[in-house]
Amino acid sequence: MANDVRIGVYVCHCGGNISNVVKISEVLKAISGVDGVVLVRDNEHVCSEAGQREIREDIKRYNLNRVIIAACSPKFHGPTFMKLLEDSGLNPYLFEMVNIREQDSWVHSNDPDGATRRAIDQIMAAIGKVKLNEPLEAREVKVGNRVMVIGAGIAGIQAALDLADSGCKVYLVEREPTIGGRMAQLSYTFPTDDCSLCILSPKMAAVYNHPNITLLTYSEVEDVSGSVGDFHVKVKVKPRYVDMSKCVACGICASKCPASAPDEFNYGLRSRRAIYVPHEMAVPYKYLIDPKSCLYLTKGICRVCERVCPQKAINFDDKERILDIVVDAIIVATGYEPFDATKLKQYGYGVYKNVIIAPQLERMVMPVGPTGGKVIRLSDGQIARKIAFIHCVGSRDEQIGRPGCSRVCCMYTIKQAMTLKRQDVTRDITLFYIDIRAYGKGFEEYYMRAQDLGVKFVRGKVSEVIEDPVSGRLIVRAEDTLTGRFIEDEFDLVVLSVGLVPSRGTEDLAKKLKLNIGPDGFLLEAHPKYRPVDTLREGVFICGCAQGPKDIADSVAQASAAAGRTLRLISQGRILIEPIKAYVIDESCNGCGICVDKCPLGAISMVDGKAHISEALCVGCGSCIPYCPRGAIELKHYSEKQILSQIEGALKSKRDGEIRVIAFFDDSCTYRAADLAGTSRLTYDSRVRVITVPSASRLTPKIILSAFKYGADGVFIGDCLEGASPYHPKVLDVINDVIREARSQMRKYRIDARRLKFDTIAVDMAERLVKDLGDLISIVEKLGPLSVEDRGRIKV
Amino acid sequence: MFRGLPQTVYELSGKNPYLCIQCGICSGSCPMIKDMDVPPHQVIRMIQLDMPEVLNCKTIWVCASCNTCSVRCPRDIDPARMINVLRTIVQRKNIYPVDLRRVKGLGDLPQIALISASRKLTG
Amino acid sequence: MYYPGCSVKDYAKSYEDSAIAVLKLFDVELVELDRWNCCGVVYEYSADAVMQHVAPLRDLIRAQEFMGRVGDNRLITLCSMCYSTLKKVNEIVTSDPEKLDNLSKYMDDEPRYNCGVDVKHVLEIILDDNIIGFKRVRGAVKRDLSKLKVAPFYSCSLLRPRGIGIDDPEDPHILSDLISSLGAKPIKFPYEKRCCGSYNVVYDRSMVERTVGEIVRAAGRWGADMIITACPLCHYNLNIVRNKFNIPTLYFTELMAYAMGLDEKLSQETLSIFKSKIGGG
Repeated sequence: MANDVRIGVYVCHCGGNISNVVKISEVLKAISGVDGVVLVRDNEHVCSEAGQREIREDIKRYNLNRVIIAACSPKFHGPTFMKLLEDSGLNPYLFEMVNIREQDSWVHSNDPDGATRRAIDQIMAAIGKVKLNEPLEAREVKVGNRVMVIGAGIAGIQAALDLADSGCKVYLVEREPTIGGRMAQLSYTFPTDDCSLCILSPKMAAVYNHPNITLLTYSEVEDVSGSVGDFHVKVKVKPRYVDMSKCVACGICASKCPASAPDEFNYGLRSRRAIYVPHEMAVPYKYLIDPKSCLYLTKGICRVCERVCPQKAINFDDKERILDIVVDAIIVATGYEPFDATKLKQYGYGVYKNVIIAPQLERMVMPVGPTGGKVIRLSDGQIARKIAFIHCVGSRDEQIGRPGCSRVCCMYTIKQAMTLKRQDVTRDITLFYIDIRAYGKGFEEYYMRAQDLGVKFVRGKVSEVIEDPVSGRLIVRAEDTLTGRFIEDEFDLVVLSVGLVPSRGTEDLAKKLKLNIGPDGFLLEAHPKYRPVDTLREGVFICGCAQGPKDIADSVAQASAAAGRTLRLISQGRILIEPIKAYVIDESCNGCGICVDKCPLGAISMVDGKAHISEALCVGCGSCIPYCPRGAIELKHYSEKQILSQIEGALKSKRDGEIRVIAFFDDSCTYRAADLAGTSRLTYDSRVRVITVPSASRLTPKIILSAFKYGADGVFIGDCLEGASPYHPKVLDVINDVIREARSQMRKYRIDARRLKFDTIAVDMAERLVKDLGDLISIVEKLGPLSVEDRGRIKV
Repeated sequence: MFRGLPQTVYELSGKNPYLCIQCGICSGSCPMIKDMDVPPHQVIRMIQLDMPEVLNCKTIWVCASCNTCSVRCPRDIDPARMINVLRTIVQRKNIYPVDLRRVKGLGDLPQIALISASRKLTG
Repeated sequence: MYYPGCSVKDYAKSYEDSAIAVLKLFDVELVELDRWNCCGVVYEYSADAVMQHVAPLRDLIRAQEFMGRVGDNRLITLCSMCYSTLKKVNEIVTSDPEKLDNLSKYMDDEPRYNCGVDVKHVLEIILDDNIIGFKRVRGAVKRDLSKLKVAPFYSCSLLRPRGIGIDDPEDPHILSDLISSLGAKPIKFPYEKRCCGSYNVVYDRSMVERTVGEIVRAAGRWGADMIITACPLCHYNLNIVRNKFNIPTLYFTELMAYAMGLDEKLSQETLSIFKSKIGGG
């Protein structure tokens, strides 16, 4: 390879920014004549039009097939030069950029000799690597505009409408027989007190009538395979036993049906027939038969509905159908369900009739609801006059493993209290809370209105609810923490403000889609701050309560955001899959399968007895690499050989008695922090040599020990803060495993383990990084450079 | 990590008193609340605020270690444990609120009452 | 193996007598440890407690030595407080070998405890289908107790803390199930998991009178004729107000003994309580 590599090296003065410290002439002298280097030039501004033109011409004239530019940070002009290569007919990956400004001249201004030596060594490292660089192609994947939205609550509906209005073909899949989700079950919405169904229905109708939306209700996602641009989804359409094209929803069937079941839409507050329509505003407004309660489907008798239906729409031969749908992107909007309050026995829900959950109160309050709009005691039907609301049922509770706050309960409880007060201002209403979280626009004012209406607030979490067997009244026990008074009071009705938990089936769906779940069970976004609706899987987005509890406004905002991100992805008609991925060397793989579980994105599977990494799912972190006992996994553009050649190149000029530290920086965080050190003109020791990796999880004990063997006296590793890595949240676990193993091997070879240092660095932690490097240099100085015998002991 | 009383309580109980959000469920659950001068949640607050006078309150002796608060505490800081630790701190100074020799009718009480009382209320 | 503890040999003798007799009916023999000391109640919460753990640890070692003779590693207790203390200490030394080391230093005359003893409350034996189980209990019932309304009263130590307690602290049902299997009517009431006031009775009887007053009044309000319990201290405390509400508190094993016709093991007083509560009044 050395024979056919023709490297051109360009060293930039950067208008004095580099040349004021680094002695350019010495650099040019040291680099010229290196094997493979055909041309060495310097320039005042390599990035200028003139500078770029010079490179373009040189490539043609001198037949260059590798280019190295030693100048500012690649975070700055890296893409510029890569494009330059492309325009000149060279693959953009046959290029290395050496940072001799932010990470050299700007941080070693007090040590020009050291800065110069560092510049030379870093270029030598780049030369070693670029010789091994191979042309890589970003794979182009054609994408169309077919999108599947899973879940047709308000979030799914909004996303579907945004996409459909933009011309996409949308498949909206909903598990229930009607769309509308939880919002359809609400009475009024805070802080505007809009009637929920009134603002939802137009959107539901729009979805139903939209020419670009294929609505699949009573359907579930069974299986998902493929990748962005080519997702193959199997959707199971459950049998309704009623022909939707014939049913006109006259309701005669239901009036004759003898079987019944609790009405799910009304949380069991009333019952419905086995043949039913979910609710008065259901979309599609068609009947269906519940196979669990229908007498014919369970016992083989009856069939009255079939006889009386004037449209002959009943079809007991209906079967489930599996549809195979191909889409380019998927949005998951599967929402939430209320916390199951029967788990908290001390509140008596499910045992005492007059303890209800907030969603049930929503239904009671509706004039068309199960109690005709009257808020009553379920035990005797009397209107409830004295009501207690208990906050934080199922939220903020370590005892049941749900430490998180459900965000909306304080507001909905205040809303419910005000609704009850407006029905009858003489009502005695008390809210028992821990904190009042009224964080949003208009929320605090809403809270004030409730206080103004005379709603009482007691700051104390209720310890238990008891129903007196003689009087039937509910006794609520709590401590008013603000006065230190113990409260034991009787109420007609107790309403539990239940928290939001992920929809039943979220975990299963996440497995099918290979998505991550957070510790609270909700789907995990790619990054909580700057990628809140993306997932780590390209082409799959999440929005609404599936991602975490939130109110309607935030769900709608996220839904439009997800639609926007989808449109961004597909708008060019093609997407480029980055080529930097991990891959398995088949000949070395022995099929042990250890790597399969190590990939947090589920990108590795066993195919024909060998590990196989899916290009579509791999994000190129390299976390799998350290675990392979055969070293059979490699990372494109950052192979073990490439890294070792960089180490070698960086240490070649080291003289006896000198000290060197090899520092591995992750590309996203630590590297940027190092750049920030440069722009902030901090200073640190110039005896550091930096090697960049996408994520430090790619490093192996072998690489670390090789660094020592090749001449390093100290090794520093820097990666992102816990959970902050753009690759996946668990890289730190991998790095810690690697460091532990490396230290153990170092001890084996009697190399002081303190020579290896690791720290988590965020992009703004420049001072911390500088201190870390300084500390390591001090330790290495105190311990002294490793001797030839020391290095000789290391076996890699 | 901390200083003073919170640090002592943290070391002896293994739980961090600063995690308490003063929700009041411990006080709301306590069967002995009517006999206490300082409700349990305020005892924890006084620990947080490093108020040594909390060691003088009646509460820490009235607590029967029934653990009802501990199974309900949403931050899982085990208030019963903390109150007991305060009791231990006082006992280690050789201060006891009860002199069992002065109690009348000792002979009629079940042994278990005497033993647990002497363990909890004396050194 | 059987660990009696202080109270059952004196104040709570009827508990022991009825328990041993009932278990004998099912061929379960409680073999008392040949040597035992006070269980060291109440468990000391401080992380650095040493002396308070020595007593229970000694008992565990006694059990360890006795294991071979009985061929079984289960240590049964009747008193719930003993159960709680022994179990907690067992867990601590099993999960924290450093702690065991430290404690062992104070007992260099003892053999080292190797964490092989399993502490169990007698109720666990009764409800374990492999040993007795409620079905067999139902089968052994000789009397018709259908008119008897019995409120279960667990003690704190049986239910809490989580992990040590043998039933759900918010919604326990073992005693209710036991009462049902004996043919009597269980009166589940919210105060069944309350604390009786415990050792406060020693120096402030009125305090305990108040706490148990609430409990026993509630039992009456919920319709109970009597209360059963598994802890000698609860038994004593609850009975302070038995005449005030005409609701006596008995040990659950006494109820079992009565149901199974083991009258000779029960005192006259106890028998007359049953007679008065069932059949006519």
